[in-house]
Amino acid sequence: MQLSQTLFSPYKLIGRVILPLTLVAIFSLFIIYPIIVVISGVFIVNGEFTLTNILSITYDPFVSTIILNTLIMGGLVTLITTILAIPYAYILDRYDIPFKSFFLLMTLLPFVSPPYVGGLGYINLLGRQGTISLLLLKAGLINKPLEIMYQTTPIINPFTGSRIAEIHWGAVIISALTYFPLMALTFFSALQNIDESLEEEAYILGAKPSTTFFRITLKSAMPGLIAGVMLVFISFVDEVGIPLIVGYRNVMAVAAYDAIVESSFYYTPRGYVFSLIMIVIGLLVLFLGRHYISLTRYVSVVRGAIRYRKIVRLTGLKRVIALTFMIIVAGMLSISTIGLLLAAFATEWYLTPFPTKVGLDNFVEVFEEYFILARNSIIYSVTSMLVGIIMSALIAYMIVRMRIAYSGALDYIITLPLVVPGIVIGIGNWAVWRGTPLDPFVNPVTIIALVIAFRKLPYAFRAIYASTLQIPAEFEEAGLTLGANRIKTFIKIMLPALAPALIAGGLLAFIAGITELSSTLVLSATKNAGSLTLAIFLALVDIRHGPTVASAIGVIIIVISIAVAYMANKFAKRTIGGLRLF
Amino acid sequence: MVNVNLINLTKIFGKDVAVDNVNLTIEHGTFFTFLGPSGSGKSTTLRMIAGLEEPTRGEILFDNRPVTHLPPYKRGVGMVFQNYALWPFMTVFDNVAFGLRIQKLSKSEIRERVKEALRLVQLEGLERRYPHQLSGGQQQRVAIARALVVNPKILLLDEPLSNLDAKLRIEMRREIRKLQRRLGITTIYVTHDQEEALAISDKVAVMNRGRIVAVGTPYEVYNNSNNEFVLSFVGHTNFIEGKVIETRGENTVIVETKLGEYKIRHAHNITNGKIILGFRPEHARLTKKQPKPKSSIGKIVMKEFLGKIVRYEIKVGDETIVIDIMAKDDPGYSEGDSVYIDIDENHLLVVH
Repeated sequence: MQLSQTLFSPYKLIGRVILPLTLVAIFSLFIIYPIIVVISGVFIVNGEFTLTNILSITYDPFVSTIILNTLIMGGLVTLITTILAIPYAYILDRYDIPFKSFFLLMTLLPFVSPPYVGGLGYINLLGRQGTISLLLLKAGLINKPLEIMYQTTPIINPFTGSRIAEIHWGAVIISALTYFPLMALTFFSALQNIDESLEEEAYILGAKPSTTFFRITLKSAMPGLIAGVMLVFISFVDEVGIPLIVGYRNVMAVAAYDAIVESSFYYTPRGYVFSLIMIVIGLLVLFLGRHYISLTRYVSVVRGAIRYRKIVRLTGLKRVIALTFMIIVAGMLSISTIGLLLAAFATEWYLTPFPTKVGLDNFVEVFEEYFILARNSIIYSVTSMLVGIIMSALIAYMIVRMRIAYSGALDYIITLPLVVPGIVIGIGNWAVWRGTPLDPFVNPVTIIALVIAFRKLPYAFRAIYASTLQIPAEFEEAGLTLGANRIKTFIKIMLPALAPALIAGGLLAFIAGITELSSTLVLSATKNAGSLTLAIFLALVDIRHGPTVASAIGVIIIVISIAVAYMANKFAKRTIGGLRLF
Repeated sequence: MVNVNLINLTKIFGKDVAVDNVNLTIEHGTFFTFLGPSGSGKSTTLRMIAGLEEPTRGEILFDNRPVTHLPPYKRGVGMVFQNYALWPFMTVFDNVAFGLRIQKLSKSEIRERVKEALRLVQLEGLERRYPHQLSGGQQQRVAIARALVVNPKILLLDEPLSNLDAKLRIEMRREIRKLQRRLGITTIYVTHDQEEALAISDKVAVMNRGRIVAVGTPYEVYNNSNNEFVLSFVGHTNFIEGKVIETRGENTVIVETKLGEYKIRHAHNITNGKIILGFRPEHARLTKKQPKPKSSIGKIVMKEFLGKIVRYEIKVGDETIVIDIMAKDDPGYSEGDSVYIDIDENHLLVVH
C-alpha cells in the first residue's frame, strides 16, 4: 500500500511545491526583491540603520512639498473625475440618448492610449502655441498666449504664511481628463450589476427618485466607485508621463526619478524616500481594494439571472441637459485625439492655428530616427506577452487546480505590480542588477524586457486566472478517467479550453508592454535601450523634431494598441472583464 | 464485468467526515445506486471509486485487487459527470475519440469504435457537431458514449440526469437501464432522486451523513427498512408514538397509539414502554366509524388531487398524518371533515 501511494506523489511534489516555488522566486527576483532593496535604501545607509532619511519628510521642505503636491493634486484629480463620472455613467446606463455607443467607446480610451500620448494631444491644442490659444489670440479675445496648462496655484499655510505646496493646473486637467474614463467605466460596470428590483422595491415603498438614487443606487454601486477612486488616485501617484509632458517635475514619481539621476553624482536618499511613500500608498490601495472586492462579490450574489435593463427615454429639457453634458465631456476627451492627429500629420506647422502642410513625413522620420527604439518596443511587448501567457497559465492552474498552500498570498503577490509604481520597480531593479550580467549599462534591453514583462504580468494573469476559474474541474477529471495523466490532461484539455483567454491575456500584456514608460525611463542607461514611449520625450526636446514627430509616435502606439485590443476582444469577449484591477 | 469492494472506506475533508467507514460489495454486472441527499457522501464515494479523490482510510478493491491509491487513468473506469464535462472545443467525434487516442490506437480503429459507440447511444451522423450545438439529452448521450467507448470495467454515473427536464429524465433513465442490461457492465450510479433510484437499480444503498443506512433491492429498501432516515427520505412515512400495553406470545405485542390499538407481529426485542411506529401513506384508509378501540378522530386540513391518487392531510391532536387513497377509491371527503384513520396492521413498522 505504501508503494502504490507513491504513484501520486511525483506530480504532487512538482506541481504543489517545486514549480510554484520556482515561479514565485523568479517573479520575486524582479518585483519583490527590488521593492525590498528600495525600502532598505531608506533605512540602511553604509550598513547602518538610520531614521534620518525617513524623518526628512518632517524637516526637509523640498521633500514635504513634493509629497503634499502629489497628494493634493491626486485628491483634486480624483474629485474631478468622480464628479464627472457619476452622471456620465448613470446617463449611459439608464437613459436613452443618441450616440450612446460613442459615449461608451470613449470610456475604453485609456486601454489603447497611454496617458502621456493623450497629454501630448491636449498640449497641441491647449498649449501656448496650441490651436486654441492661437485662435483666441487671432480673434482678439486674449492678448497673451493661453497659460492654463502651465499655471500653478500656491497653497499657503495660514498660520505661518509659508508656501507648503502647489497645484499645477496643466497636470491636474490632463490627468483628470485622462483618468476620467477609468472612473466612468468602473462605475458604469458597477451600475450595470445592480439588480433593478432593488430600486423598484424602494419606489414601491414610497421613496422619491433622488432618495432612491442616493440610498439605493449609489450605495449598491459604492464598491465600484471606491475601486475607481483608488484606481485614479494610484494612477496619478504613479504617473511620470503627464507631468513630463507639461514640464512639471515637483510630483513624487518624477522627483524620485530625478533624485536617482542626481544620486549618480552625489548621495541623496530622496529617490528612496519618495519610493517608500509611493509603496505605502500602493499597499494601502491594495489592502483596501481587497476589502472591497468581497463587497463586490456580495453584490453579484444578490444579482439574479441576466435581465434587461429598463432604458428610460428622456424628453424635453432633461434630454437637452443630459445630452449637452455628455457631449461636453466626450468632446473634451476627444480633443486630445484631434490634437494628436493634427500634429502627427503636420509637415509644416509654425505659429498658426492649423497645420499649413500635411503628409506622412513625421512617420518616415520616426522610423529613420528611432528605428532601434521601435524594435525595442516590439521586443519588450512580445516578451511581456510570452512571459504573461506562460507564467499566468502555470500559476493560475496551480492556484485553481493543485490546491497549493498559500494560494491567496500568491494571488496577492502577483497583483502587487499594479499598485507599486513603475518608477519604484525601476529604481529597485537598477540597484539590484548593477554589477551583474544584467547591469542596465551592459545589457539594458534584456533587463528592461524582463522588468516590463513581470511588471505587466497582472494584466495577463487577471484575464487568464478568471477564465481558469470558469473551467469545470470535470473537464480534466473526464480526461483522467479516460486514461490521460495530469500532464496530458493539462496539454490536451486545459490549454485548448484556455486558448481564447491565453491569447486575449497575452495581447493585453502586449499592449501594457508597448505603452510602458516609467521603468524603461529609469533603466535605459544607454542611448539605444529605450522604447517608442521614450522616443516621444526624446523627440519633444529635440529641436529638429518637436511635438509633430512625438505625436506621430503617439499615433503609432495607439494604432498598434487598437489593433491588438481588437484582436484580444475578438478572441475572448468575456475574458476582457479580467482586465480590471480588482 | 468486475465486482467492487469498499472496505472501511473513509474520506475526511479538513474536519468534515464526508464518507464514514463504508463497507460494501458491489457484485459484477449489477446496476448499483447510491441514493442520498446532497452532502450525504454519495458523490465522494463515487469519486473515490473513480480515483478522483484519495481515501483518508480504507481500501477499494476491483475483483479483489486493491486499486485504492491507483490514479484514475490506471483504473479503467468510465465516468459520466453531472454537467457531462464535454469539451466544448472538440467535436462530438473528438470527444468520444479522446480515450482511444490516449491509447494510441490506429486511425481506422478509432473511427470504427467511435462510430459503434455513437450507434449505441443513437447519435450517428452528429460526429461533426460541437457540444453547444446539441440538446441536453444529446449531450448526455455523447457523455455516455465517451465513457463506454474505451470498454471500461465499471461505468460510473454521477447524477447524470439532474440537468434534464422531467420527461426526458424518465426517457433517459430507461435508456441507460437498457444499455446497462445489454452490455452487462457493472454500473455505479449516484442520485438524490428516490424515484429514479428505485426505478433504475438492481441494488440501492441509501446514504446519510457519510454512512450507508440501508442497502438492498429497491423493494427491500422501500418496504423493509425500519431506519427512520430511510423511511422519511425514500418516499413519505408517517411516524406515531405508541405504548406497549400487552405482550402476546413470543413476538407479538399490542400497542396503543393515538390512532387506536394495533397488534404487531415480528416484534423482536420489544419489551414495553414507548416506541415509535411508522407507516406509509398508502397503507391506511379513512373511515367515519371508529375502526379500533381508543382511536382518536382527526380533521382533514388539506386535500390534494394528484391524478392517480388523492392525498389527505389529517390533523390528529398535534400530529399531521398523510394518507394516500387511490383516486378511484376516493371516499370524497372534504377539507374540514372529521375522519378516523385505519392503518393496515401488516404494514406497521417498528422504528425504535
